[in-house]
Amino acid sequence: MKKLGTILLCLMAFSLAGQTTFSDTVKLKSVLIQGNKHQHHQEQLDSAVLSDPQHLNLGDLLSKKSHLFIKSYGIGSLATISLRGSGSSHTQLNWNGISLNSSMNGSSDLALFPLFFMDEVTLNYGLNSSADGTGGIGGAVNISTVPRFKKQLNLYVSANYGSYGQRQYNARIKAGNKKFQSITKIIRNTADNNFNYKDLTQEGFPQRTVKNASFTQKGMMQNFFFKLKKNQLLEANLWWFESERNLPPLITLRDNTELQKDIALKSLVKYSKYFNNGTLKITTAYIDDALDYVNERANIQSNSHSKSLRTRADYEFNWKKIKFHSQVKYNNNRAVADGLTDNVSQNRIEAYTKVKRKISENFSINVSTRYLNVLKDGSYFLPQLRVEYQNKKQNSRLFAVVGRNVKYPNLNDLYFHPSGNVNLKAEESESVEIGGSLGKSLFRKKLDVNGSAAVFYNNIQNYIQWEPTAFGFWKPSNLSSVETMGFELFAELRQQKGTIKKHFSSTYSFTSSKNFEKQHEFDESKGKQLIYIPEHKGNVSLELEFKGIVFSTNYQVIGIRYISSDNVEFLPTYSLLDFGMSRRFSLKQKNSIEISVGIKNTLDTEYQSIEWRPMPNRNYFIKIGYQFKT
Amino acid sequence: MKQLIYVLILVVVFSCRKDDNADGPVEIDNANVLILNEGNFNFGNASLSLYNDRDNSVDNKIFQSNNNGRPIGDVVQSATQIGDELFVVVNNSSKIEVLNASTLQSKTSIQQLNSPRYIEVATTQKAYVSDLYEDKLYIIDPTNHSVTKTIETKGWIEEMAIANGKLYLTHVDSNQVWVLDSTTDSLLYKIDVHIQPQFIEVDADDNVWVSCSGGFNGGKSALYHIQTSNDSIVSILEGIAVEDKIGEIEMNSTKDELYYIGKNGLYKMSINDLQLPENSFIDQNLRLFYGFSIHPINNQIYIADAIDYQQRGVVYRYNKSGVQIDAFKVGIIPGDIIFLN
Repeated sequence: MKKLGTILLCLMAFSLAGQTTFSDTVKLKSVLIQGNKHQHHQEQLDSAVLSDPQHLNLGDLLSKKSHLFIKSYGIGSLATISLRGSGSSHTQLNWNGISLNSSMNGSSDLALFPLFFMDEVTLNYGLNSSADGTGGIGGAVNISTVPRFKKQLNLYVSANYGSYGQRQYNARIKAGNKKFQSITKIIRNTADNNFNYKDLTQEGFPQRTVKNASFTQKGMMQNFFFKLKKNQLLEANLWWFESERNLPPLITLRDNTELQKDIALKSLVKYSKYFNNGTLKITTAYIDDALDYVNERANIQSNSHSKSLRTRADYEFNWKKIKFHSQVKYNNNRAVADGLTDNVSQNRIEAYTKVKRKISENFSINVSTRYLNVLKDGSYFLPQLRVEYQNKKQNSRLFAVVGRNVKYPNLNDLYFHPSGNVNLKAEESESVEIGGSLGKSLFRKKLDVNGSAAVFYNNIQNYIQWEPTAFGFWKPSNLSSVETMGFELFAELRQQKGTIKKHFSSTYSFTSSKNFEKQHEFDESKGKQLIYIPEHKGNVSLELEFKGIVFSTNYQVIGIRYISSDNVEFLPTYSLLDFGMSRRFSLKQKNSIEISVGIKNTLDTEYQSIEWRPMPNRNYFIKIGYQFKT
Repeated sequence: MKQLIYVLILVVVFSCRKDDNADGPVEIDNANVLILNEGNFNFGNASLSLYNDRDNSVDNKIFQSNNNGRPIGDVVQSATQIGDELFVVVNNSSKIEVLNASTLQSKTSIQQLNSPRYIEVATTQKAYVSDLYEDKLYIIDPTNHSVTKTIETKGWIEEMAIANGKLYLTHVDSNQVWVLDSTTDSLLYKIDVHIQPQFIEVDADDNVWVSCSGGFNGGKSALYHIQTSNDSIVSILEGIAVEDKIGEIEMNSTKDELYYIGKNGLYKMSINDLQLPENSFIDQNLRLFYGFSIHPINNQIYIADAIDYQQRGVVYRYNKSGVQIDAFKVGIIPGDIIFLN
């Protein structure tokens, strides 16, 4: 507690120092990047990418545009993140800086996060996620809504029709002036998901149709932004999302009826104050997640309900060549569920301080510490050191970072009935990462070339794993140490020649994620890749814009995923090729209509992302969007 | 740019490996030890392994090999040989695969089931099938592979045994052993036992032994010795501590010794003992004893180790004195070992 007290005192001192630099100057940043911006340790995807109808959901988008691997059970089904070889609970999903990961199982189901709700998605790889909190051993995905203060009334509606009964309706109203903005978004998304597949479990491999896979999603998001003064912003956000999905059985099973209903209600209030050389941000969110599961065959009806109060305050300021960032966080997580022993709760306090100093024109050094205290259960001290080289003239950057992170057990790990293990230790990681990026403009700035690369190493101690027991139930335990290492490459070309714009981008990642403990002589998992984590993942995309028509194509390759820890069983490599074309028609009085068509899985690849769960073959979509602007 | 494309092409080329499951049917020869590999629940990776104790050879995935590459399904729970047919209960696939016991080729399957667990044979034309979810006991006719009748049980039934002309079934949900007349199928008695009775065996005196796991809330495990002549409890044996768990139980060939999986490994006791053994007969050490069987003729002990539940498990073969003879790799989560006639 002494450490915590010291850090809090530091924070207060910094806050007082900041008050002296108060100024009326507005520094509201409104970043809008056309396309995706890829640096060595961070990647930003803006509204232009997010609104591309080729991307069904956040998981689909991240799978194509980043180094993330998405473990997907199918359209609308459970989709979890694996980043840099870590597990699904090792990547944080943040909404305006507040973690949305389930307090019960620690992970996020990306199928429950509609892209239409997001204006910007930022990925922070590895230790770069630590500025937002602990737990992001693999990294963090940050989603946010971005206001643009101007007098406007902007109405947008769209309808997207696809194969297998996919229907997606979106509506958005943006209204406001230079002091107030309101953004309202409404979605409704349904699919029958009744695609055909080759049944590899039956002799002769007959064609069958997926059953019990339909879903309905509906939701609304409301954002209010108030510019209180020239340098103060208050925002209030409400997120309601309801999903009802049937869970299709494995193809090795006969018909089964499983249903999952998720209801999420998230509210977030954020206050920002901008000084001459600093900012203060206070964010508080209340997150209410309910899940009802029904299994008719097993006569199971289970409910779980979690409620979290998550709050953070950040103060950043510049002093001479030094940048300071201080942060305190408080999370209160509570849950009631059939699977939990009782009403359970957990309180976490975090304090963070970062000091970044320029030591020469091009070099800077960055030292940070984060302190996590889980009330009554332990505390962790997480230092980090980063060295950066940046040459603005040559548009090049290099960095090296070393540090620690921690992922504290979730409520299910600790209290799940009957086998929650209150003696579980936190997963602790030590990481090193080196990377860089380079950008060049050639041919009189008609061709932009960008590239980035990163190499990482991560050692995770006390890796938590759930296993069945010989006595009929599953139990989590701290098993072993896991080492992940690999490298990530990104290359991009942008060219504009007259009215023709070309954009080529490509990503490749190699990920080694291995267990280094052996239970006995017959245990063959030592030194082997963890299951369902591909070593190789690559993506190539090309966009061509000509006379208002945009052609796009995306080719994605996912390497083999081992499905047994001794790496004897695996799912084969698969690749997916998508095509899309869109055209915007300008109408009178700033009205416009956009029509998009596309083919997904053009090569009709038969593949399984998860064993014995078929994925859709070639399918089509058409989207019509109408926009009215004042 | 070209280099990047080359890298991607290389990735594709080197990532494609040959699937090694495409061999043809395997001759059964004299192999007679069949390992049931449960596989992970909802992973569809159950399999059968065939072991020949004469030359120590193993054929994994023999069901797939002998059935045109078709996987057997999700969670192979148990298997029972009836005549020259092997009835394999595939729990989460809701079926019983009926195999030719000589070729392990599928003849048919019984599909009208929910979550079948175990089979207990009454006569050549009558067998009982327990179920996890259905609240019923099925009666099947093994000769025509059909369900002929169901009996309401209002709960989850695990293992069953026939002794003294009666059917004894472990009624998990009610913490009871139910006694049925195996001719009329009428309920005779309900015997209260410890929490979660799951395994049952018949001894040399035609009495039954039932192991109760103690459940999930820290209850004690217990072993019940029930006299079948009057359905009274002869003895209740329980460990000193909650950790002294009792899992699967089996009898030796003469049915005068009882073996069970406990906290530290495999334990052995006489059916006349009035307390549980203090020390294990075969130490588990760092291994994970998940299931076991005793050869009905030579009393060799086969113990299945699931290791980490995510890789091919291993089966250890011991002689009756507990000295290891052999060990061999099988499929994922080996749960039971069957000796074919």
